[in-house]
Amino acid sequence: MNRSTRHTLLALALTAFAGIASAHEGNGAVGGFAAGFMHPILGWDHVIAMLAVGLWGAFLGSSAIWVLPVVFPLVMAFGGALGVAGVPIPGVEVGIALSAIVLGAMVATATRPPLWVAAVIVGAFAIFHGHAHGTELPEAANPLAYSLGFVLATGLLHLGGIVFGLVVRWPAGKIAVRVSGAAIATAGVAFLAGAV
Amino acid sequence: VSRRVRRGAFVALCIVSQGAAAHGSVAGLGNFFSGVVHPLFEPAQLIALVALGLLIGQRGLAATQPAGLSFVLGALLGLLAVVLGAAPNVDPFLLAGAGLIGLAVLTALHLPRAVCALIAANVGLGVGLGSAPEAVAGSARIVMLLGSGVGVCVWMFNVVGLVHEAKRPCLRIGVRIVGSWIAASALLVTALALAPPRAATLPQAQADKASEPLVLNVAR
Repeated sequence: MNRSTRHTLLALALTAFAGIASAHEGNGAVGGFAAGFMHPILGWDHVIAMLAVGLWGAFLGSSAIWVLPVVFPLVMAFGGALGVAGVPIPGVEVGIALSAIVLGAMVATATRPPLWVAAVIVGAFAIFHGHAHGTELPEAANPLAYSLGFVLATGLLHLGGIVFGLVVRWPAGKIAVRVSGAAIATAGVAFLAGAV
Repeated sequence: VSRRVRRGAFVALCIVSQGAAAHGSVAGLGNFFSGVVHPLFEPAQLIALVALGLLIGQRGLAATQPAGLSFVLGALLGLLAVVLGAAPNVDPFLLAGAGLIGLAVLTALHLPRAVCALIAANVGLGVGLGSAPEAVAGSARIVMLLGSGVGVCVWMFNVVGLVHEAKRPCLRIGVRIVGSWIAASALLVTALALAPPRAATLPQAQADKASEPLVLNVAR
């Protein structure tokens, strides 16, 4: 398939799925793919934690670069299922803030645990993020499109972290990534202060 | 036409276009092509087809022939049942299946060819049964179902072909990541379908809605 054909197919698919552009629409993040896609992106506590997962994966290198971003959405879906089922998890907001602190600190301190330990840490925090998303799922106009949207957005946020994390191969890049980790941890402290 | 004009036209189309309506005939497409694009507007069918395409493509050319044949036969059987009047709600079945297939893709599970073929037959059957057109009758209904049969095969085998071509290690990992995303989404929506209504925790207006039977709401 050549480039032109790919672009044409992409254009057709996007055109078929598109709706009328409506600025200042009052319904906000309710229902459908767009709402699900925007949900993780509009919450800074989610954004920085997911960027941190990607950064840490890139920092750890090897298979961690993709294992951590795969573990996160899967366990997040489990947390979401708990939220959908109405199973309460105490301190969800605190858990989300802590995820930014811990994951940011891991990047800032260049901690390199075994892959399974990193996966357990990431997975534990993913439950809190998933629970927060899952509680909104029943209100979505189209739950499947909503869940596809927020899983995709989560993956793209991880990808953003991975792409930035790839600069660790250069000495200056390594410093930049560690400083970013420190910034994420600091922001996490601010979110924690707001949550408690 | 210059590239800039084509891009402008594309952006304009994206802004003014409406989402295509599932199950009915899509305006301007005719019955046959409405059937062809039907799986694209049914999220449960779409992710089941993509998941199956990833699984077969990942498994290699050897698995493609029996699985592909089983899929086509299953889809034909499902469509035939629809012609005879069957119209079951297969979305939960497709979602659960897509979730399991997504996990198999994620783990790059080396399933035997016979198992791949069995999975493909079931997905084909489910998608076929889920293709019942609404508000379309007579010969138009048959034509639309024919289009659906062609469409489900075209979209599924396209995914198989793309995965076959993904030889580079990073692309193979990309296939596994997409499998994990499908599994995650399917798990969530299956949980929603099985979850009891939470009337006690919702305001009255939402509680009224929640007290209704919970059914999957997939782009109808």
